[in-house]
Formats: sequence, C-alpha cells, structure tokens
Amino acid sequence: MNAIVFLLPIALVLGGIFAALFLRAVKKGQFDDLDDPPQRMLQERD
Amino acid sequence: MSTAGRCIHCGTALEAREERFCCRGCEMAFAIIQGAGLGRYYDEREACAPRPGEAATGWMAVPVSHGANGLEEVRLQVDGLRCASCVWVIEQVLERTPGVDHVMVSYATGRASIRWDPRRIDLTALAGRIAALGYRPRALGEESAPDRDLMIRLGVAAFCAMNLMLLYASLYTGWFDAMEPRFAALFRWLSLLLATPVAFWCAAPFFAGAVAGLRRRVLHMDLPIALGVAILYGHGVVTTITGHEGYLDSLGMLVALLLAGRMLESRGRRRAVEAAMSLAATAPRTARRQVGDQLETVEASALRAGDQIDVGSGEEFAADGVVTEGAGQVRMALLTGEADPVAVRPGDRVVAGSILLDGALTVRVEAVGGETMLSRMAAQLEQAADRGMRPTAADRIAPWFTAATLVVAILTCAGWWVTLGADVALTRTVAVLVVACPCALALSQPLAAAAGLGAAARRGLLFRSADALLDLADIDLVAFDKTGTVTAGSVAVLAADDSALRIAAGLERYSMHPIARAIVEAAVNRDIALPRGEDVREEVSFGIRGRVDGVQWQLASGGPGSLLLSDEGGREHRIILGDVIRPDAAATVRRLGIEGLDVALLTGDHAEVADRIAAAAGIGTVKARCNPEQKAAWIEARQREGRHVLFAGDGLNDGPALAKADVGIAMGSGAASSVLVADGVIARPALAPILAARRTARACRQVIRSNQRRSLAYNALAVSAAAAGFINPLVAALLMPLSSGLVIWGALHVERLVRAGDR
Repeated sequence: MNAIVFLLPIALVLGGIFAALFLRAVKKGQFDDLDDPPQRMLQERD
Repeated sequence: MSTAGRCIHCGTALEAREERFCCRGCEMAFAIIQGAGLGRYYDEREACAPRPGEAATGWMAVPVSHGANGLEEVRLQVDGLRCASCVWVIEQVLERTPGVDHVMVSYATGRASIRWDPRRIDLTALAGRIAALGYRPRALGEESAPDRDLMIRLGVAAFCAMNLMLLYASLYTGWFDAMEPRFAALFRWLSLLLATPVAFWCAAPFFAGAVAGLRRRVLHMDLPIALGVAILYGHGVVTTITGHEGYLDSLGMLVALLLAGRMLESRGRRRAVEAAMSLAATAPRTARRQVGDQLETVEASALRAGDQIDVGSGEEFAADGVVTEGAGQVRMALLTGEADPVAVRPGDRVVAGSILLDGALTVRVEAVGGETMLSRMAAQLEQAADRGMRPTAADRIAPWFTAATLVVAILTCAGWWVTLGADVALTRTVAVLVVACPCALALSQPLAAAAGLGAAARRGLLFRSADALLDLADIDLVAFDKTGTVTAGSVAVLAADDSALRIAAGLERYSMHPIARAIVEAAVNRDIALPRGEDVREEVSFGIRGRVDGVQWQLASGGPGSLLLSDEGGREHRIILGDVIRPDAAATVRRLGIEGLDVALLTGDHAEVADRIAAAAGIGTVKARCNPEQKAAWIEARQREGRHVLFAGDGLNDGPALAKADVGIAMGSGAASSVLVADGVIARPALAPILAARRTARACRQVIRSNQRRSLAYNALAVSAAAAGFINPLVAALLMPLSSGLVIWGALHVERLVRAGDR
C-alpha cells in the first residue's frame, strides 16, 4: 500500500501532462475547425 | 445533346468541334491554371468549374489585418466551390502568385485566409485572380472568435473528473474491504484538491448564468445546476474534514457532462450563424467619380453629396442620387420586391443598392452612407428585429423544478429530524439536493437542439437559434414573398424558340451583361450547343450585332420584358424575359398542403403577375400590391386569429414581415439586411429546405419532450429514493451517468428520425 504514496502523484503528473498538451492544442486552434482537415488529407500536396 | 465538344473549363456544350472554350473567361481560367502548371486539376476534379464572371469591385475598401514583416492578411468568403479540387486549384494558383505568402481555403465553410506582401501585390489583384478561375470571392463582415474557453474548461473538468473517479473507486472498494485510514484520508484530500478547480472555475459559466438570470428576475436552468454544484462541493468539504465519503466524483462528472452539452450546443449554433452571416456578407462598394475630365475610383464612403459618378451596365449604385445624363434600366428587386426593371432618364431618382441592368448613367450624388434609403431601411429593420431572449422549454420548467426540489428537501429534513434526529436528516437532505441536480434535464435540450441545427443545416436551412427551429414545428400557415422567393428573382428567359435561343446565345456568349448571361444560361440548361458568333459588336443601350452561321443578326430590346432577334432578311424572333418560379416551388407548396398547412403569397406586385405566379406554384391565397407594412399587418392579423405564421422572403422590403412572423426565413441570395433579421436562412436557391427543416423541428421537439419526460422521471424517482434514505455517494455516482446517458442516447435519434422523413 505504501507504493501508493509514490504512484498517486506520478499518475496525477502523467495525467496532468496530457491535460496540458490538450489545453495547448486547444489554444493553438487545433479544435477550431473539425470539418476541413479530413477533406484536406485526401488531396495530394506538392 | 451536343454532337461536338464541351468547354474545357466549365463543360458547356459547344457546336464547333475545333472550339475549346465557351467564353473568354473560361479561356483565361484555363490559361492561368495551365500557366501555373496545375493541369492536373482538369483530370482530378469531380465537378466542372463555374463560368467565370466579373470580379466584385471595391476590394480597396476591405479592412485587412497587418501582420509581421509588413504582410497583410484577410479572410474572404469564396462562393462556387464544388469539390475538393476547387480548393486545391485556388490555393495552388494563389500560392504561385508573386507576393503571396500563405493561402488556406476551407472546403467546408468556403472561407479563405490569404496573407500577402502589399508591396508586391494588392487585394484587388488577388480577388481578381480567384474570380478569373470562376469562383466568386466576397468580403466578410465581423467574425466571432472560436469559443475555445468552453473547450478548455471541459478539458480541465474531464481530467479532474477522471481522476476523481479513480480515487473514489478505491474509496468505494475500501468500504467493503477495509482500507488503512491514512490512505483513505489521503484519497479524500486529493479528491477535494481535484474537485476545487472544477467547482470554482469549470462550473463558473453556470454560476454566471444563474446570477445573470436572477438579475433579470428569471429562474433558468443554470440556477438549480449552480445550486447542485454548490451543495455537492460544500458537502464534499465537510465530509473530507470529518472523514467520510462525499459526492465529489459525481460533481466532477456532472460538470464535465454539462460543459460537453453546452459546448456541442454552442458549436452547432455558431456554425449555423456563421454560415448565415457569410451569406449576408457583401463586397463593399466603390464608385467612379468624375474629377474634371477624369474618372477616379473611390470608396463609396468617400463620396459627398454633389459628386458626379458614372455607373456602367451591371453595376450597383453606390449612393442615392439623381440621373443627370444617359439612360438605362434599373433593377430594384431587393428594395421594392418588384422584379421588372424600371427605365430611368435624366431627372429620375436612383437609390443605392439597386443595379443598372443596361445603359450608362451619370448620377449626381444626393445621399451617401447612413443617409441612403437602403441604410435607413436596414437600420429600422434591425430595431424591429430585436426580439430579446426567449426562454427555452427547459427554462420554463426550471422555476417549478427548483421550487419542487426545495419543498421536498425541506420536508425530508423536517420529517427525519423529528423521527431519527439531526444527523440522519442532514445526510438525507443533502442526498435529495444532490440527486435533484437536473443534469439530464439540462442536457435534454442542448443535445437535441445541436443535433437538430446540424440536421437542418445539412438540408439547406441555417437557423440562428434552436428556439427558432423548434418554433417551426407549430407553424400552420406559410406565407411567401413572390420575387426572389417563390420565383428565382433574376432575369431569366421565360419563352424562346430553341433556334432563336441558340443564335442569341452565340452572340451573347462573350458578354458579361446580366441579360447575356441569362440567355447563355438558358441555352446551357436546354443543352443547346453554343454556336460561334463572329464579328460580334456590343453597342451600349442598343444591343448586340454579329454573325452566326454566316448570317448577320442583331439582338435588341423589343419592348418591356422582351428582346427582338432579327436578321437582315427581316426574320424576327422574340425572346421573352422575366422572372420564373423556382423549380421546386410547386412541389414544395403541394407538400405543405398535404401536411395540412395553408400557403399564401404576399407581394408588392400587380394582381395579374401575382396570380400568374400563384397559379404556377399552386398557391391559393394571394395578396397583391402589399407594401412592407401591409405584409407585416396581414401576418399580424392571422396571428391574432391564432395562426402560427412562417414568412419567407428575400428583400429589404420583406424585413418587417420577417420580423413579425413567428418564424422568418430569408433567402440566402437576398438582401443582406433581410438575412440579418430572419430566424433562419435558406442556403440554396430552393424552397424545399423549409420542408426538411419542418421535419427536423418536429423530430427535435419529439426527442426533447421524451428526453424531458425521462429525466423528470429519473429525478422524481431519485429524489424519492434519496428522501427515503436509499441514496449514498456510491449509488449517486452510478445513477448520474445512467440518466445522462439516457438523454444522450435520445438525442442521437434526431438525425435518424429526420432521415426517415427524407424518404
């Protein structure tokens, strides 16, 4: 059970990293337009 | 069918085998695309390109944003995108244009963002380049920033909720299988730590909503939610200190679910509103002002009363004024609703927003900007259309709901206090308040509404709000405007022989004139291959001359509403021009009748024309010669009889009626100001979207009602259980997602119900 004392903060920090990444993605506008990128990836790019 | 080729760019049928293009515009577009090395476009595209037209003018007046390194950036609306290749070709052509730094075109919305170096190229040239390919760029009005705030709150709430769930899951297992007290305490304090930002920051919009509602003396749905969140958190703090389990995991999930529902709703609504606004966007106007013997192009706002401006055929008047020289035909359909062009001569008044169909005029400016008739009418409309916030169905339930919850809570508290004492009474009262938090009820409307807005938008009708969409379900009388609504609202060929149309189209195919384009359009629609016109000469305010099949022809005005095509030998053909009803108008009216709705036609036009159009569309009730106020009055009179009226119109003159009707629907092709006052906008040149939207509204309402019944039933059950003492934090944590899941599952039915009706 004592391992919990270490595992819990580690779990929270790991989760926090993903949450922070998500927030960063939102702030950079990656969720602003969810309709276009699926269309775009079908086109060839030079 | 054509025996020979088709235009390489736009696919119009052509007679002569060796001809490759239908007009110079298409030839230019092909040259631009080939010149940029993008010939691949013609192999890969899924749909032919539109025929290039004239570029809108006035780009110098479009506001641009200034970025780093002296670059300028602008967002435009591009019309005419037909497939993903269109996006590709626009992006590639612009990217290869010297001076352009970055281009991005969205296929879904038609938005283009362009960044360029103003020292090397200007916006007019860029817009001209898009137009030369056949697409129509327009300036955009103000835009709302994407709502990232809700998304961030949701992200934080979801993160905290998941971890809370994890911690609480171990606490709950600890109930059955004893956990060391120090770990249990650690878990509880960590939970409180995670729940704090959820309660104070993530749930802030609900508190703000509740306070705003109280200020305006309405109890709406945010109030019981805010109450629930406050009680959950307060109870959590107390239990953490005293060493018991609270409802903190329920708090996290509740806030995350509610935020998700709210985000879906705001996303759906913003998309519909933005699409509607982009239909209302128009290019700003410029004018050619006489300065001595010279002409200079200036922004419309720079004009002053007394200036002399030149207006050419096909141009829009930038200001109100009096004609001093020249003659021509003016079309004022968007202002007056009259489709027939009006002939003007020196001394006649013209107003901003109308279009000179043919001829050339010099106009002495009398009123500009906000002083023009157009602006004054638009301003009046905006005042009339300020309807204020209407409560949603859920908001109407909210006061009763809150009152009922409080009564039950007080009874529970009092009942247990006298029988089992204060301790039990408080625990059970908290349980009542917790399970009464109307999460499922609050989700029932936004989820179904978001689904409904999306379903209606996919079928061509964009609604400003879910309430307007839901009102559509009650409509029992549909009133249409004539010009531009039941009819296409533009010059079209009403009647002509195929042979005459073929020759006329051969003469007119190189012209950009609105009548010329209508003739070519008619020929293309009848699949007549365009012959080649030779020695074609356009003569201002006369017509057009040229040779087709070796015979010299001339095409000139043949009196009001008709053209006369004649050759040297005296052979004559008449081409009747006018407004035609939309292809789906008759079918839509019939369908509305079958569904039990009455249909009426309200128009400012003469009874004769109105009767002809009404007969063609199958409309029984006709009210002709209405001015804008009479249209609104007619609607009001029907409303007093207890009818629920939908009005569809397109012009500025329809504004009062659009604002008065229970549901006002504007045509996307209509006046910008009518789009601004309407509840919804039809995004295609058709009437059938009204039918689909009505089905959507009914499906939506049905789903919302059954969702509300379900969630109220859940609340009633859960509150009774809580009052009886059967609810503890574990049971609450299991019940909450169950009830919300039921509502979410219900909302998924909207699209399915509508699709079943499509068939």
